[in-house]
Amino acid sequence: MENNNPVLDFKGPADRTRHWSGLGADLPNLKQEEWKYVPVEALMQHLYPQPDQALSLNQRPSPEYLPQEIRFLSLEEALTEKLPGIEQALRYLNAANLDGMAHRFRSAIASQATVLWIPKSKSAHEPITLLPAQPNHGQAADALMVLMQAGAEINLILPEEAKSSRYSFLYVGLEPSAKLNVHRDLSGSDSAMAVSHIEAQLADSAQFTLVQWLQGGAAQRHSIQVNLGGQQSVARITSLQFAKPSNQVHTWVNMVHQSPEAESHQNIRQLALNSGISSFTGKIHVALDAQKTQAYQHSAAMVLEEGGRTYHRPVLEIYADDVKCSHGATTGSLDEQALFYLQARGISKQAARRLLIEAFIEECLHEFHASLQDKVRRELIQSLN
Amino acid sequence: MLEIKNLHASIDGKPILKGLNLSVKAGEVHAIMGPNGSGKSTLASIIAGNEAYEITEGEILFQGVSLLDLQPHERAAAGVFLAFQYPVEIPGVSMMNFMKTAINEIRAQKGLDPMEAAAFLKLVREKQALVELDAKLANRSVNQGFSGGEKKRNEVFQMAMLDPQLAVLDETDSGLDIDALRIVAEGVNALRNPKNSFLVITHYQRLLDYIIPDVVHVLANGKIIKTGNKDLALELEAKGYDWILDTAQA
Repeated sequence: MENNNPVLDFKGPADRTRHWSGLGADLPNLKQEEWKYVPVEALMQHLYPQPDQALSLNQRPSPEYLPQEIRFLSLEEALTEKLPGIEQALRYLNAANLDGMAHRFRSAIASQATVLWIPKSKSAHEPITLLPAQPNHGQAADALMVLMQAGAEINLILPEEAKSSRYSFLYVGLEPSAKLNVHRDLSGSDSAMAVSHIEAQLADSAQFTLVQWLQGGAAQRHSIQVNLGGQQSVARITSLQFAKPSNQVHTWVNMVHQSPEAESHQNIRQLALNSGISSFTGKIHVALDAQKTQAYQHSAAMVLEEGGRTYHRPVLEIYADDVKCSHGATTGSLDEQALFYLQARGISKQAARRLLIEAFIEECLHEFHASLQDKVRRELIQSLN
Repeated sequence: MLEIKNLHASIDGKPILKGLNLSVKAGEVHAIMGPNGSGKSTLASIIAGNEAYEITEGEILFQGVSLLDLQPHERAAAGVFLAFQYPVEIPGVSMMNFMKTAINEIRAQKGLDPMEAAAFLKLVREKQALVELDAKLANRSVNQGFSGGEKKRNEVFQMAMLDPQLAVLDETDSGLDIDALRIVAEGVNALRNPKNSFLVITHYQRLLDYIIPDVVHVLANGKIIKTGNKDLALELEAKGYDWILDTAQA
């Protein structure tokens, strides 16, 4: 790629990332592929250069459906009511080792975050849908804390739309045996920028599932940090990323196994059309004490048109010696033989192409809440047509 | 039914078919035999419309219509079926979804409404029984995890479902044990009628014990070099191809 910007003259991805982790570096233009190397914290640093600068957040509207006993309230109210778990969550968020993105949001969280609080053993069959905050002059930013007491169980749907720019922060605190499934649906306009950080803290036997459909946007940049702090906790990340022409969609995952016998799965599907770029950087960190860890990562990409690009960057950092960890990455285009096989049975090339693409994403699609599956499939097919 | 005239075809600039002529009438079964690399599978792929091959000369008429003007899916709708030598595995596409899509796409090309679910399921059960295909395979992805024999039976199952006018069987017998060969052949025989035709490509006479051909052709070096009745297959089995190649060169 032709590059006239001396700032971008680096020897490799590690150099680039290190550079942009520092302060004050000029960020590459959103149209430049180098953008995928910019860590979210550097991005936030760039956007909000003053450490104590308070972010102006928009509040998410109250959900239409909220089961009894489940609370949706401001952080201030939650503190006043001394809801169980709230102080513990804030202690965690105020810890010194948080990455830059969370750090940037700290002051905002302290005053403007909203809290979804689920009491002990509460189970909701219907999903709770939290609509996004309404943008202010095209810009939307919100912070949400989901705190689940022991044994609670819910499905959470987060529709998100980036028209101009969108910044979001989600903190998830799961007490023992709590179970949270987050279904995220983020679409961006072709000129939009969407940046987010998700941080999840899991106690013993807690289960956290994040399923996300990311499409569109001049640039989407998401970081996900999961701390498997409890024994036998389980985390599943499923990311379905679709970069249309001139879109960039980038996800970084840091899966941290801190306790024994925890399990994690990362399953990624990337699709790129002409000049679309999608990337996935996934790290599995297994601490010395996290024996009997099971951690798996699989990323598959399909480049649908010439000029589309996809990247996988698996990183495994393992200190325990009794673990099962694996990663795999594949990139390809549509299988010409399969296309011909389908056509030879009377299926038009366009329909055959659609069948193969649906098959490629099928495993991930099944992870989505039923109410989103058709929507994702429809949006994908519409874009392909 | 099928008229191939002076067909020349190449792949990546390399000529494979070099003036092939073939005429198949309705109700006939033609066998095509020949040594490795003679162009048998190329012929099958070209009839079905594989775009990997370049047709440099000649024509293929199917019921009076030029097949070369049709896309592969249009050929299938016109009644052409290819049973693949190596059926393709398609992870994530279930057999049922695949077959339903195929049938309804063909019906749509003919201006018909989609087949009703009950009628479709009835047809599936009927045709599965014909080739003794395990019903459990219908719930799997296309050809994924199928044994070699199951893949070939699955090809014949698909053929039965789509009920083509012309079926091209590209080495359907390869990789089959005796029992599977018999089952596949019985499936083919059950589909034979005076209105449809079969082009059976095979290396061995063995298949022709079960599917009795009306005409046997020998294809070598991109051309049909000899045509005869079923006895020609027996002669090839006994004597190999060298004598016939020598005769053709002479």
